[in-house]
Amino acid sequence: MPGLLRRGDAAMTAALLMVFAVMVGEASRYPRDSRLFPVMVGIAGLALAALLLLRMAQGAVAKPSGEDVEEADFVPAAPLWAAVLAAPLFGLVMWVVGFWAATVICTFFGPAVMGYRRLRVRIGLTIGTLAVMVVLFPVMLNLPMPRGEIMDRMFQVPDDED
Amino acid sequence: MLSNMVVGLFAALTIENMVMIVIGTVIGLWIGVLPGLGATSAMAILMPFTFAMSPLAALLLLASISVAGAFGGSITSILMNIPGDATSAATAYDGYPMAQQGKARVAMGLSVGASLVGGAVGVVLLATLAEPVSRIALAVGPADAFALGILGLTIVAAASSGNTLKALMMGCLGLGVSFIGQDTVLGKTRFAFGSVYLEAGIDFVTVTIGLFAVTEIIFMMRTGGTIARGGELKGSVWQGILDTFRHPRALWGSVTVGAIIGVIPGVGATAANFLSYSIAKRTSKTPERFGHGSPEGVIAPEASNNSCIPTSFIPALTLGIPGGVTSAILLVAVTIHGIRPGPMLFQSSPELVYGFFAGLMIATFVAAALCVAMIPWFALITIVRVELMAPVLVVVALAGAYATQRSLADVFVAIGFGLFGFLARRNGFPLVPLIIGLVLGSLVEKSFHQALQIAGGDFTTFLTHPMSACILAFCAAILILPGFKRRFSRL
Repeated sequence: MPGLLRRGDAAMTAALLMVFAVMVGEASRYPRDSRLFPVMVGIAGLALAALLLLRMAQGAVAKPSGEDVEEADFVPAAPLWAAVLAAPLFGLVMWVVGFWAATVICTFFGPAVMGYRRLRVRIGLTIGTLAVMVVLFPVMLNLPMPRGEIMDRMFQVPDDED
Repeated sequence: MLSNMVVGLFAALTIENMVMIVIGTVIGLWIGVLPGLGATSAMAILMPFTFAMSPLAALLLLASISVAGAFGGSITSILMNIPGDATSAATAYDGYPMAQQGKARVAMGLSVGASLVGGAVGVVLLATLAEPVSRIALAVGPADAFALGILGLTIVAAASSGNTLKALMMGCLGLGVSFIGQDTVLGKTRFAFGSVYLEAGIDFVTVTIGLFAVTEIIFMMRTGGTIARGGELKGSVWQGILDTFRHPRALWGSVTVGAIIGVIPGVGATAANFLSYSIAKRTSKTPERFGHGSPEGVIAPEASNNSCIPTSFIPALTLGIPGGVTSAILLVAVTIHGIRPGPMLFQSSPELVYGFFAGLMIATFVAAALCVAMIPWFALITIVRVELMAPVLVVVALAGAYATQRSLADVFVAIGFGLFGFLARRNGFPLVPLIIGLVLGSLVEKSFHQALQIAGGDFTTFLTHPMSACILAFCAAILILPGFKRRFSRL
């Protein structure tokens, strides 16, 4: 089994098996009507995951292909870590310094991280993206975007003392 | 009937109503393109502005947004593999490979052609069959609705590329995600693990943005270059529109599937989009082309989601039961204007009802015309370098995730689902069944409990109701027959 789990899809199946096990365990604490359907679905998921692992162990399920093969034909624009971390980093920066600063950082420095150097194009991209976002969210939809933890703390209005 | 249609046409053709149709169509197309901001959000935002309008103008503004939103949602599905609206998610499966082959204009032409036919047929069905069809819809009981939900999951799992077991497991996971939050029977909080955020449940739009937009951006950054791999565009919009009619089976079959699903309350255009794609794949003469840029793979989901939207107004107008979120918003707008939906509406306000039908038809054609005019410009996106496009897409997708409920937590949930989607796709786990499980989760569970309550807790009720028994038998056949076929072919 440890050898089998070195296969990405087998490891993922095992992880999902654990998710379904937690689902059944958690659901069993609820009243009958609340737990009935989640338990049924959880058990079905457990059975499917176990069956899939068994078939993988027997070699009846071929290794997944497709997405990785596709990648190999091209020169990647960004290393794997950069591609995977782009969205989480944007979310983190948005949380800390706000949406607008995160947008500037992402659209100006993002292309550079992926190897695009032309400064004027990057400046144009940043200004263009900011302009569209401003028109769409605060102006048209009247939707203020997050200012970030730092800005929120700097401009925090003190509570009224009654 | 015919005289009523003429009255309706004249009612819709006033300057005020035509202006509202055009405004609604432009807003719908624009909003539909942005991930997370579907037509529903735009309708909800604009509803307060309709209070001062005439009832017909208000209805037409809101309905035009909905019709055009379905057109617009397919644009980013095809060009970037990122659905602007969940109702166009399945369109990406063949639309995007076509864009990669440099045929973005043809794919969008197919989408416009199929959407136009789907929308127009949906409106005709709405106008002619609203009353009789609503009576049939009432005959669908909870056991049948449960079986229909299971059928949706089964068809999608069976038609997913790769392993059916993996697809079914992802369907179960989607159902599991739908259980988070308030339960549909007792209102008890489930699977929240003490988190206030999870108590409200995980929003479907957030998950869609994560699984489709964030996942795709990761793959796009890894691949590099341009979306159109040759760096050039081939074919024209009109070629795509004409090609729509070269695949009558996919076109008319999907229009029918969408129209039927629209009438059933609670199922909606998203399920229609995926279901018709799956059915078209199973019934196609060239199923191996699906996922690699098959025209049928674009026609089927687009025809069905557009025929679904008008027919979802049937139960709303005739019975006061909304077929989905869109028709629920329309129902609220109708009620605010002091109009009571029901069978009598057709007799008491024919100019309103038939004017609405005529306006919907006009909106469908206006949306198609605007799309045709804009497609050549939109298609240029596919020859922009990924290094420039990916950062903008990260911003737009995550802004959309935030805008849905104005919650930063949604942004992180979307990112989490995006990373999960990346791992799942790399390892051959299809994402569509997860979305379908999430969409159908509450409907399936609610119907399951209602059926059991009616039957006094007897589980055999699902097998004793003729319609549900037939549907469940069909589900079993879909799963078992391919295995038998393979085994016998080896003998």
